[in-house]
Amino acid sequence: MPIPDDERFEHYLKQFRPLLPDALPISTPQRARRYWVFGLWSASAAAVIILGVIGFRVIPSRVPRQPGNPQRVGLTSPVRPLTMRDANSLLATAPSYKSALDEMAFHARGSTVPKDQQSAVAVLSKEKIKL
Amino acid sequence: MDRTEGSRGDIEFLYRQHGAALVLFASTITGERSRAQDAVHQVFLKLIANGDLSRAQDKKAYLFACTRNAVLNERKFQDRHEPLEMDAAWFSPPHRDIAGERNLRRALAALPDDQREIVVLHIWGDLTFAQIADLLSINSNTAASRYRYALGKLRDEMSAKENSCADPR
Repeated sequence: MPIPDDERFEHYLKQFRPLLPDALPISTPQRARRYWVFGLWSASAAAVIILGVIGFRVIPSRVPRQPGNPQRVGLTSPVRPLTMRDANSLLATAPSYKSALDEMAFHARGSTVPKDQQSAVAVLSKEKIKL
Repeated sequence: MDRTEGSRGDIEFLYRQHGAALVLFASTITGERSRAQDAVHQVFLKLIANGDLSRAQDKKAYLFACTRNAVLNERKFQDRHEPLEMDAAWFSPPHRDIAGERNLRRALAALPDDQREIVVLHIWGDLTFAQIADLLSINSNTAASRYRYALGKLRDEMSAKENSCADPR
């Protein structure tokens, strides 16, 4: 390479351009606004989903007890076993035999008999009584 | 557009205009281009957040001064003086002259620090000797003489490299 004078050498050096740097790491106001709106939408959607889940779980437990629905009764009403006294009382006070039986049959009473004991009604119902 | 947006826009424009030369200048001091770029970014982000360039008489020289201060402070904080990075490119070579770019980079690295700074500020930063003298706190005649000396050394270094490549002996 021939040795150029200062001016020509400067011109040669200036042909080598410094590499461009990366963009400044700043967020524009528009971009920030977009993030804010997106965040608000996400929060609203999450709140709706959470409220929906809570409502779905709460509502069934608030449904009032339906007569003649044994599944519901067992969950929400207090359980009281049918005793002989209760059965006699029902038969005595009911307007008819049929209504007494309906009252006994369709108001299911959960059993609270411990495992090592038996219910008298259950035992008697199995026996064949010859009259 | 309000005043803050205008000044921020001005600062971003100055970054696009002088960013490359500023990063090159910082690279010749730090030895690492990535650290140099970080330093330049810090300067501009600080200007956008807090600063106002309207009071600076010479904005370009002011930016070079800020960059130099940022780099020297960072080097003092890190308590190290790294040798200049030889592998990463500093320039976009003309006519894909990659060997020429490497040759130039190594010739610049071989210069003493003060001479290297003056050469980069004058050739790629386009600063006058008066501006350089102000920035480096030296006399303008001192700046000019150091520049001529440095340019001669650069030329000799690059010529020697070219000749050694031509003559495989």
